[in-house]
Amino acid sequence: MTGQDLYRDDPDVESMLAFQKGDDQAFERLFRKYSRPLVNFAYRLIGNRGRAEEIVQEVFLEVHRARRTYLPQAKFSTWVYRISTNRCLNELRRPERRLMAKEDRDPGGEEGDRAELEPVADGPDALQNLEVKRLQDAVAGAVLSLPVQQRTAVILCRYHTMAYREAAEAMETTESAVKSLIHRATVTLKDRLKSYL
Amino acid sequence: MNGHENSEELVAFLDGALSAEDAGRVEKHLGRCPACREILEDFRRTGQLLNRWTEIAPSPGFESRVLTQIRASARPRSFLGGFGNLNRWIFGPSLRWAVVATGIVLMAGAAYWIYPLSRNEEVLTEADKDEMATQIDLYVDYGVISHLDTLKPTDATPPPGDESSVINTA
Repeated sequence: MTGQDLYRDDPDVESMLAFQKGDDQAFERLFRKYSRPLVNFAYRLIGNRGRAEEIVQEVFLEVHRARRTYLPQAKFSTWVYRISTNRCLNELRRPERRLMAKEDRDPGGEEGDRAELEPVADGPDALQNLEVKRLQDAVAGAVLSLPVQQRTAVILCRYHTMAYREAAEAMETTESAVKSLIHRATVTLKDRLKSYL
Repeated sequence: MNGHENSEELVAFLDGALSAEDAGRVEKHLGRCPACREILEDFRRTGQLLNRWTEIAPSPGFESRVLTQIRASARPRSFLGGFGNLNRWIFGPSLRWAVVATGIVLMAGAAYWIYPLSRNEEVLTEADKDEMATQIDLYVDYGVISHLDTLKPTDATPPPGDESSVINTA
């Protein structure tokens, strides 16, 4: 059994291979399945919804262009998250982006970005909503203030329920590196969020 | 180590990322170590707290907008698309080598055509020049040479008044 055959049981790999043979509906199925999780992945990593959506569009353009050359060498989800991770990291490396992040940084924070969070609705539950919003802001701020590699590992493993091995493949690193990143991130988050524990 | 579990192992234990053997060892230690149980509980609550950052929904019309743009970018444009198809036809796998081979044959033919023009150019040897110099008047008379300073014999100075032997270098 070759490496490529290993992944042919993955239904998403099957869809990608069907797309390769001309089934455009298969591409749309993949897009509809992954677009929302990937928007959230990019949003949590870079903290900007509009840019996150643009990145997901670029990711699927890349998937579409890979139609002729695609060879299944990983689970489809791993492959598409790897593309997304690389796109997001490129975005975070852009000089103007770094400047924006520096300007947005919390006074006591380290490196990181701020999320554009949903506004709070008015009404009888406004106070409760405000409390929810405050907690959400605190968590988002804590995650976004993590160093990029720790943040990526946390988002993949905690929000996208990836195993360390799969996150390592998506980040193009080792499983033990992910284990260490997750540990350091968890310790930092525990300290930053201790008033909410 | 101070007799407690490494906190990296505790986080990995929570994530189910330890081998069965390591997980058994951590579990056994937790059974008799309240300090490690407390640390583990803090890590667990921290993990639960992360869920308070809820998902966002993509903006309205995101899916259809992106799919439309991807379809548009994948569709060949009317003018250039035609050339794209032609290009694929010419350089398709079956014809690619035929086109390359034809190009090589044409280049070889062109080279063979050009080469005789250059290889027939005769180079004058010193002996040729000497022979021509002895018969220089004849060459001049018949208009074969109108400009050939190099053939002028250095020691054959024409007698004064003998204008017929002067080489016309004009």
